[in-house]
Amino acid sequence: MVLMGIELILNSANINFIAFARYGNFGFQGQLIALFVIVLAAAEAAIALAIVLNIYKTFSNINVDEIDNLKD
Amino acid sequence: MNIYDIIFYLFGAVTILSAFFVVTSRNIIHSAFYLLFTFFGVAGLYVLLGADFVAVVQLIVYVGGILILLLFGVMLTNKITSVNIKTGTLQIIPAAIAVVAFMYLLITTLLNTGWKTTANPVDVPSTQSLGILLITQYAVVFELLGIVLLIALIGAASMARK
Repeated sequence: MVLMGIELILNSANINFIAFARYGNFGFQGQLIALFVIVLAAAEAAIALAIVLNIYKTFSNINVDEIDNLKD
Repeated sequence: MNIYDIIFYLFGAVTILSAFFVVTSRNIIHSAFYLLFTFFGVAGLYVLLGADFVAVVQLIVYVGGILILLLFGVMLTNKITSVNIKTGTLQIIPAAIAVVAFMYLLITTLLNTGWKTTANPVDVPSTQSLGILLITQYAVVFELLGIVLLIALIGAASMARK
């Protein structure tokens, strides 16, 4: 759930970058930054899902409100 | 109001509505599928903004990669009978303050930007220009990003295997 929110926020930032690149006077740099953001989002999703799998293995639960200790 | 405006509002409406359903849906699998429509809408907006290469990358990476990864994680960690998750709203006041401050920032930026005054900027194919920029002016960023992605994937694989 939190992950989906992060993806939505990154997408909205990308729309902003590309809109400014189209109608402002910045050339192609906005599109380039949008590409970089997409790559970072992919890396973040892979890492976060590995963490989620480990949390599920440890707590049998993925509700972030109920996971409150770092070590068992 | 020409045909491009109609298509723009259509994609915008699809994006905003499905994004709203992503955050309000009570079933996490439904959220994931609404996210699919959001990504398609955003890709359509990119095409309308003249960013054809970014639109294709968006479709390949988000729909083909990240969304599948998310669904994979959801189905692997949730029992299908207990997919009901709570989507309560917490900490409304700090969130409202942050959103208002950010909106102020965005609106002042919008008002202070020197926009192109032509009604319809010409669309040039962006792939070649992006490629040339990536291997000349932004070569270091490109390589660093490749290293970051490699390290992230190795780390994810070794963390998930343990």
